[in-house]
Amino acid sequence: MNHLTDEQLEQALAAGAPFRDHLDACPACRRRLEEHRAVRDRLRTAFASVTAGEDFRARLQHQLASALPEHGQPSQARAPRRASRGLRFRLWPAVAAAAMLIVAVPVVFYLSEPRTAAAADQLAAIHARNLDPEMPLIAPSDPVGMKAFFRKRLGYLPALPESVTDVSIRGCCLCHFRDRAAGTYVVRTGAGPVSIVVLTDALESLGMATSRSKAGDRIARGAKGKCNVVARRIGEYTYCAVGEAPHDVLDELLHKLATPASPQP
Amino acid sequence: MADRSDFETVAMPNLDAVLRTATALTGRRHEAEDLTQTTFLKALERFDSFRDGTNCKAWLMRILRNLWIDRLRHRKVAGPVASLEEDLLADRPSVEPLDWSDPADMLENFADEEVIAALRKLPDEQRLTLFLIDVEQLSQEEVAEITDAAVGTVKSRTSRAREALRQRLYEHARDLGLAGQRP
Repeated sequence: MNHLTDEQLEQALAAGAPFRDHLDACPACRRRLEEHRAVRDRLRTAFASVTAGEDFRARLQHQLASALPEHGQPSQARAPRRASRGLRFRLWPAVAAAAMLIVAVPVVFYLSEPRTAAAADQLAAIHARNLDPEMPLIAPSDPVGMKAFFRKRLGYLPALPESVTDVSIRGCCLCHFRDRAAGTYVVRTGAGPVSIVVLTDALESLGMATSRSKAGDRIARGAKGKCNVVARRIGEYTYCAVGEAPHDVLDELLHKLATPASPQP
Repeated sequence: MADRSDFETVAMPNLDAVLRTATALTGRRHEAEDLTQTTFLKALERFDSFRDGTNCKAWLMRILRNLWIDRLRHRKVAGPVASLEEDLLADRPSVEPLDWSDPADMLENFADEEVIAALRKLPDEQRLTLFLIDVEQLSQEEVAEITDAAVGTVKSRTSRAREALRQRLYEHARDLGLAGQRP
């Protein structure tokens, strides 16, 4: 008996009815069809949450409105006439001032409070996602398996607590910080769950206030709502501890990560 | 020929679909939004060429694909952009068949981003074809027009792409201990 070709499989998947006799008699093709159907359905659900946010929608509509200002005609069709030579000369100081503003304003925003808040915002959002009960939970009791998992998913083994059975991962140990991939896991502590987020960003770039911890380590501290954040450098990465636990508990956790009792394999 | 004042009513309902497709192509939210924005601006510019009564979603997808190809050409000159996720499901040689007794149940173990990352590993045309057929549910004829391919090519490409995605997810499941070797 010949099995279904790729094209026939697509027909069967789309309509179901064709090749029913063959599928009834051929377990291999039936299984293949079932697997393809499962992949198709999972692919659909994976993208179900990808929707345009309000900000993006508003930004796009604004741009479209700018491109189509009046009477349904694109703006480039109604380009303004060139200014006369005299007018252009008089406009020059204003143009220079505007150019200065264009350069200066983003730099000021980049260096000031909103960027600081954005780092804590994003870390708090990662923590919230790590605690989302809808996300699949991975909490292996096997330390070797967990370390292998991290190595495979992140490409490196992050610093882990002495007892890795205190560690759990929601969904995936990857998250995004400032549009870059970062590693994350959750540690159960006496003061509640704490997310550890491992970044390639420099400590200073987080924009949070830096100080010395009780142990003398250089740390950065921040907060977002009920969430506290403490960050410090461990090896090549910046480790952030995020949770409702007090700053000193987060600091102590990071200190323990930086000074493991025994070397990690 | 469409009136530009209809753009909002005709094109904007497809915003989510275009963003999803851009996400499937780029794998990065920021880049997907940028590509979506460019697609809509280009679509507005060319809206005079859209024929009333035809599928606007398919028309937008064609613009999106052309813009994506332009970006890939530019990137070939500028060099690739790598991300950490892209290394997760690295290409590996085919392995023995695995035991996947309940496919739907096993696939539920993956996070959405893992499925999306696995899709990202497929070649561009395979990925776009599979996505438009399976997720956006466009017809094979529409996808053939969007991708400049014959309908037969779309059918076989879809099947091969889904098979490749199945294999990647399968191997990933085995690595995580969610599936075993098929007896």
